[in-house]
Amino acid sequence: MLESLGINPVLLIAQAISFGVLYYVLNKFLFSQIRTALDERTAAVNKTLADKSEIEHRLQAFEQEQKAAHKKAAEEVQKMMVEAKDAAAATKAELVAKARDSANAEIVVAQKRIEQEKLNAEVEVSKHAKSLAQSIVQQLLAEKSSDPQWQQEQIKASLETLKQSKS
Amino acid sequence: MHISLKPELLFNLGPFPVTNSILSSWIATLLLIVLAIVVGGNFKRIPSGIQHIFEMIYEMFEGMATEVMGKAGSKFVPLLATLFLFIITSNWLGVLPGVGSLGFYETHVAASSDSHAAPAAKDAHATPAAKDAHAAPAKDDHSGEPVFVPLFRGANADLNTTFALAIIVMVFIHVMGIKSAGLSHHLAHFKNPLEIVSEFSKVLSFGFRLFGNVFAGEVLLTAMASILVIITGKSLLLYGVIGGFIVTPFLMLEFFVGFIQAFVFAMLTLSFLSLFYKTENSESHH
Repeated sequence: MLESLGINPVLLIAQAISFGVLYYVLNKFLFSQIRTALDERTAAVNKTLADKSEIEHRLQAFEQEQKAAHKKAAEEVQKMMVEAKDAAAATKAELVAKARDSANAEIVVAQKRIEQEKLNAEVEVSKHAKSLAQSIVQQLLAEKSSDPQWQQEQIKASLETLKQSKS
Repeated sequence: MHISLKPELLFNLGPFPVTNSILSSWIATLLLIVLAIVVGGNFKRIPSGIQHIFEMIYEMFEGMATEVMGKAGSKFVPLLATLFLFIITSNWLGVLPGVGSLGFYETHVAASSDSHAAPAAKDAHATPAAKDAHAAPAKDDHSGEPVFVPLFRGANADLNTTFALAIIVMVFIHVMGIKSAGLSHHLAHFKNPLEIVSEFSKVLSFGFRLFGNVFAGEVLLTAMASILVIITGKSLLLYGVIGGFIVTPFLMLEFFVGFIQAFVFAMLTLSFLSLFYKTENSESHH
């Protein structure tokens, strides 16, 4: 039966051997290179994709950072403005208080001076009054000095008033 | 018409019979080897031309093998691709003009077993005169009449080729099965004697499927060519015109069949391989 189908063991083995040779040659010269090339290409593509996603990540992070920085800066500015306002208000209050104080102090000084003046004036007035009284008394005394009795009475009365005013 | 199932003997190389089909298969093999060395010799990072085609085929099988068998499948891609390339190359070479029509006449004195060769002028390019002369088959092969011996015959139109491939594949599959699962585990597949029969039937189906398709293609082309000769007689003009209608479609069909059979052979190899090759995470079948 095999003979009538043309099957010949020698030919069959020869075909098998030539297929084996073909397999060896293709594998050695071609498929191994294709294998490496495909692997390399896959690796390259994977690397590119990985790089891409990393870049995207970084970009996102950078954008977020930027946004955060912007926000922070804006907040800081706000804060600084508030602080400045507060400081200005404080300075104003301080100035006003200082002004008031100094005005008060001046007022006090002025009052003191006024009082002093008043005192001085009083002293002056009393001095004038004393000297006036003396001159009047001297005049009176000169008029009455002719009368010794009256003189003695007057001396007594004056002494009495002195004593009284001293006490 | 008489078309021989067997390849025709061309000459003997010592004890080795050189037939027209083994000559064709050597040509196909040589062609592929030359291409492989040329392409492999100046392999480029960015593929072009034939390198691209080889890479495409390789990737196609890589994709299918890894789909069927997981990562382990990728180491069988060279075998699948070699099978595919060899079968498709010899099938397509077999459709070329000259195959089956170029040849010589031989007068058989001794009735050798190869003398069943009949004029197998199947090709549109054969001269009508030659066809005419041999369209009527010589019924008495063993007479001293000269017989046409085609120089080339599709490599897969020979059971020696197809069975050689089938046996290589089945031996490979079982060797891989034993290697991956261990001998006892591998033999556990064959508790049922029918399984053993099934393995032999796989060899037969591999061999006969490929042979049958290619051989039928040759017969078909021969038949169409004969019809063409009968219709046109000796008019070369008519021959060309009518031939375009009744032979060319079948030539196209044969190119398609040549591809399909090469693909089917490789795919069946892969699927049979996946039955026995035990990958790390696959379960045993029994």
